[in-house]
Amino acid sequence: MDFELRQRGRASMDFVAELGLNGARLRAATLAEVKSAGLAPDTLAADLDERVAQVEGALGGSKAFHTYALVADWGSSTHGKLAIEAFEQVRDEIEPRLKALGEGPTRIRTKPGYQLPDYARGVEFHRTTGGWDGHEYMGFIHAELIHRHYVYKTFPGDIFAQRRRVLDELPDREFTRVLELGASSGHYTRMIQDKFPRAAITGVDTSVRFLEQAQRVANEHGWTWDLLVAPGEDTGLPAESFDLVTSYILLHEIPERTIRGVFAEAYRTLEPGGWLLMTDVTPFWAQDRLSEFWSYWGALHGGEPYWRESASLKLDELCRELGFVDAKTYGLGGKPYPWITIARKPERAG
Amino acid sequence: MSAAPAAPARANATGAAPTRFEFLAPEQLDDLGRAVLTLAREVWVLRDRQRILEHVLAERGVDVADAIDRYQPGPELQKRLDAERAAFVKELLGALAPGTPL
Repeated sequence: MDFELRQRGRASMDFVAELGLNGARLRAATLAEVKSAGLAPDTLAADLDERVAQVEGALGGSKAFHTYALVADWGSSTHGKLAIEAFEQVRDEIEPRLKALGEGPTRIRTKPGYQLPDYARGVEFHRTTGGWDGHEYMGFIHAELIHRHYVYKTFPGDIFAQRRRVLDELPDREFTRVLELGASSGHYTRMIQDKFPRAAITGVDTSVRFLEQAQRVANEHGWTWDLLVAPGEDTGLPAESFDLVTSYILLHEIPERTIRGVFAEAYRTLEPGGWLLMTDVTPFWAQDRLSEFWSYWGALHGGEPYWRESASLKLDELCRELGFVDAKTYGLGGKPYPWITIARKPERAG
Repeated sequence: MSAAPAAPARANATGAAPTRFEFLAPEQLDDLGRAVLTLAREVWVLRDRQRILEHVLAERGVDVADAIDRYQPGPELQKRLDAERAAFVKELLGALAPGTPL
């Protein structure tokens, strides 16, 4: 949906994005200081907690490090508030269109007896004030203001093209019944629909506010998506009813036990021969100790309570434990991000 | 807050040297940083607004507030704003982390 921010909102979002870009430069400068302090990936402590103390201790006098920390803290604690403020400045103008896009072929239903899982209750992911459902239009605010005016400008690579590109890792076939776990505001869902125009898509998420935005996206394009408020580890959807189960950037937002549940639910809902494609952050084991430190340190201060346990998993091994075959896990195009796990449910024996 | 007295130190009646008074407790350093950045955001918003005001005034009459709110910078002005904002942020961060290449 096209809309224009007012001056204050636009300039605020521009500022926080500019600060984010400079945060990356400060961190790069800090890396040089780590090296000059005699710390290197192969000499850092193996234990992550010990390593955090080691690097923080070595950088205790580094103004670049402390300024980076300050900038990262301010950006993560403020970007959501600024985005809400920017939205409120144009709310009167665009709210009728947002409400109108709630009408159309795509509907939202809720799993009977649904309750927000304990692991998500009270958590302000990404330090978003009030959490994912903290504002009546949080899905729109996150998708159209935070993603387009902040994350897109500060995150390495093109976050939208990445969502499209990972789908090319699937075998060359037409998927027709797709389940997306953690459908969020529909950024990835629309890429799935573009790639597989005939696919019937079911999108599951625990946040109704985000699914409302996915609903607007679908209705704007005339797509009919089945959007379901439910936990990805317990969707209640029929067994063996999809030929592709997929997610993008869900797994680092849920604890290890839930990730195992999500993969088990994917296996249950996939038909024999169906494919699994999960994309998320770079696992710790695929990084050197210094990169791992920075990943963890950023998560520690960025509202990512489950990053550590998620990034510690070997998802291809989990796939095999659950019965998947042809499981592989790797960085797209040989890069550390986005990180893909792909596998297949075996054909029925006999 | 620091438990120190709430007034600047001064020589006492005996003429002894004043003790150094710290207006901010060490644990307020993070708060100070956040305040600086919050203030910087406000400063930038105003500077941005001022620049646009100059453009809009040149193009239109006197009552320009709504015009400014809705003004969407064209490529040339946006380029100028981007450059000024980048320089502004670099100057700000340079004060916090002198000598760091940005």
